[in-house]
Amino acid sequence: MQRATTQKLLQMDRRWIFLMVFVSILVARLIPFDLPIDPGPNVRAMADTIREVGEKGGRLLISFDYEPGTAPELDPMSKAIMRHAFKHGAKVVGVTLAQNGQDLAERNMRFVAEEYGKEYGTEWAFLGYKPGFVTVMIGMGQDFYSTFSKDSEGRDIRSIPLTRDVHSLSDFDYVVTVTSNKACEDYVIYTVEKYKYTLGCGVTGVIAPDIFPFIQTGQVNGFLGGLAGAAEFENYVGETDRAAVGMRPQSAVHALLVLFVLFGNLLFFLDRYLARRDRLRGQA
Amino acid sequence: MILIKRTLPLAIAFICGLLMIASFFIPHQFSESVYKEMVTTTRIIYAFAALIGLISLLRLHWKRIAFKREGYGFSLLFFGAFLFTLSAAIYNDGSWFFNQREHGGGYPLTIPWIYDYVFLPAGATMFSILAFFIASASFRTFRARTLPATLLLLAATVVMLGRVPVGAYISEHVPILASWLMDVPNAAVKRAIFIGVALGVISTSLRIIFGIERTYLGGE
Amino acid sequence: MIAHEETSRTDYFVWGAVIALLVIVNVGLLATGRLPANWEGLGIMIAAGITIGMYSVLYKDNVLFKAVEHVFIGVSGGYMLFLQWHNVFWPEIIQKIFVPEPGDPHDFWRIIPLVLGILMVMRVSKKIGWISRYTFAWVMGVSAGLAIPKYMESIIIKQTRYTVQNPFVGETFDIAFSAVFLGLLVSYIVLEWLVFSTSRKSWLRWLLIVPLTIMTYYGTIVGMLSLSNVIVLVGVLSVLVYFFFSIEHKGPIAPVSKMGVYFLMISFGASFGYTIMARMSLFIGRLEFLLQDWLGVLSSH
Repeated sequence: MQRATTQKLLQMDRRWIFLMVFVSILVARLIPFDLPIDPGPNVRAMADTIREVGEKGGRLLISFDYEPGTAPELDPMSKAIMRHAFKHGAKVVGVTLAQNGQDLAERNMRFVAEEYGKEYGTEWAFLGYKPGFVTVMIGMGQDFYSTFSKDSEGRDIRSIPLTRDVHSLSDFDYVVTVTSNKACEDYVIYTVEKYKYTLGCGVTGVIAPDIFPFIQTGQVNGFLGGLAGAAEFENYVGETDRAAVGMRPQSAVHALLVLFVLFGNLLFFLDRYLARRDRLRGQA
Repeated sequence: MILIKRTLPLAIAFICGLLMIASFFIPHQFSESVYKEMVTTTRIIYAFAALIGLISLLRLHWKRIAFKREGYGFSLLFFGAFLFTLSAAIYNDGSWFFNQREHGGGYPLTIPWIYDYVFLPAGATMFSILAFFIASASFRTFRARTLPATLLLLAATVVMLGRVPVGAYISEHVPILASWLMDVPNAAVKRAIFIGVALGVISTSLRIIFGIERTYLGGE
Repeated sequence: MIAHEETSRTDYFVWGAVIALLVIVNVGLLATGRLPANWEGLGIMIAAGITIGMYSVLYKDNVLFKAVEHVFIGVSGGYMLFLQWHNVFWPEIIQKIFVPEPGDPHDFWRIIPLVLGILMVMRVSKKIGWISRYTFAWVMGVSAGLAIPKYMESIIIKQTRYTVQNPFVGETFDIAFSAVFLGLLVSYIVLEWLVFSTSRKSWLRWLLIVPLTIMTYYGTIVGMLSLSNVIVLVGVLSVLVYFFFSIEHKGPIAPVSKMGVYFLMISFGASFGYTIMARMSLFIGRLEFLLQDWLGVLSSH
């Protein structure tokens, strides 16, 4: 084998790689096949907590802390959580701490609430966006009304039956943040200890590794990581949708990338061997 | 001038910091209400912070147009999109700026329409482009040159396979190993990093309160 | 992200073909009634155009991408202003101070954030930018005061306590197993420090590495909590030692900090695996939009 070949392959135009990624995802999405999805303990913990909240007619707060940039990853997650909550009769209040997330969150809530025929004001409510992040979290714990005094359409939250008697985060039976940023971490650091409530986190794959220390200490109860977490959740609660379907192309492209890594390393070491061989030949 | 420009701001930081710490440790009605009011004030100030960014952005593009710098056509496009969105916000589907907005999803010249069909697809697509570059990087730069590099590569491979159903096809041990990697070595490292960060945050905060750290004041 | 490249004739041909294809497909979708001929249909066509326009950068940096990028920034600027007005400036400041709702008093305390906010915006001025220092001092002071007790309570105390408290739990076998593991690990560190690093017989270290690896693997497969907790303890300590730059990394510290590096690399690798998943799912989401909402060739299952 000539070194020129390995060199050429190693310096392949990256657009070929782009094309292979595109084709693998497209094909895996178009051809239906079944894959086993096994929900882990953290996923089950969140689903079970939501079910318990629903069965006693409790209140759930969902903090939609993500923007359009991560919507394809987190929309399936927040929809799955809402579906599960509505199915078991939990009442859902939504807020958002992400600047560009308000319309996204509102549309998702409205979509799922209409799907389950839920009534605004008694079964669900959306309170919109407030800037300030950590200060909003603390504000919600300290005095909920002074932080979110109106819903997203300008109604006083004291006139909404569902939110009339909310004074603090501890008035919610479960708080879930669906986030692409530091929200989960900051809820833990700034509010969980002081306001004594149960927190669950659904986060993007990029954030997911950071959450594990908090799960072990019990500061976070219930956790979904990335699209895989959402798929496991959908599967566990028996409502498969976009996340579970998305696992097919996801599997295909992960397998492709592992092949890329193997192939890249194989070429690299082969190239190194050929270079040494050429050098030895040159000396001889 | 030093009093107004430097001493007074440092005094404000000192007082605010101490008040917040004190009210954390003194659970009294008065301190709770001071705490609440200070947090609310700070929260509202953050809304103004967003304006600073916007003003500098507008100024940057305005200068590009005024001096006809290279690519000023794009700046015109920026202003067009900005004014279009703003006018949609002001017109607000006929209910005008001071009224609460309407949910007119299906109509133009409303924020929901622009959000759904321009802002959302552009934002989501922008970030998804990285998928392709990360794929190319995994082919080009992931090399098992040294022991640490090999560990990194192996961990990435196990997690990539273990987090999606395909891992279970290879061996039932792959998903177990992937969750172990997350629960044990990963959690240990993140915990150590969090502890380090917490120590850093605490020491920086103390330096801010006592006026040793002043970079936030900006230059003279 | 992308170097400036020369545009060739092939490139113009490719882009022309893409735009032509977009037009033909959209006309076809409208004609066959797959897309409704209303504002919603127009919106979907625009969204598809934006998506494909942005992906064109994967072929080569080009005008279309830059145009879409600037439209995006412009729209987000306008949207931001609208949001802050409707969520903060109007209901939390102007309304509270000047036109409170019937029954509520004028809240003149809100003048404080209003003034501080205006001072902050002065930052953009070169001449009187220093005025903003008052606001920044306020924000920094409050944030610092908030952070100190919270980080102490939620991270340092809670996380440290959990790590130190829980290594040896479970049944006798688990505890004995973990204790043996820890004993082997400590003797490895000691031997690495005193013997392996200087001796020629460095292959001897494998006599410890192999059983340690096997024990880890066994513990993982049977899900032994005690062993996991021991490894977490070792990991936290060794990474902290690695980050502790005030002491020289030699003597017994050297093998420990080296172990910290290994832990860090494993964690970075795991994070990279998760990051790949995240980025790919974003692209899958956009592809679903193109196939399902725009072209309508896909069912949801």
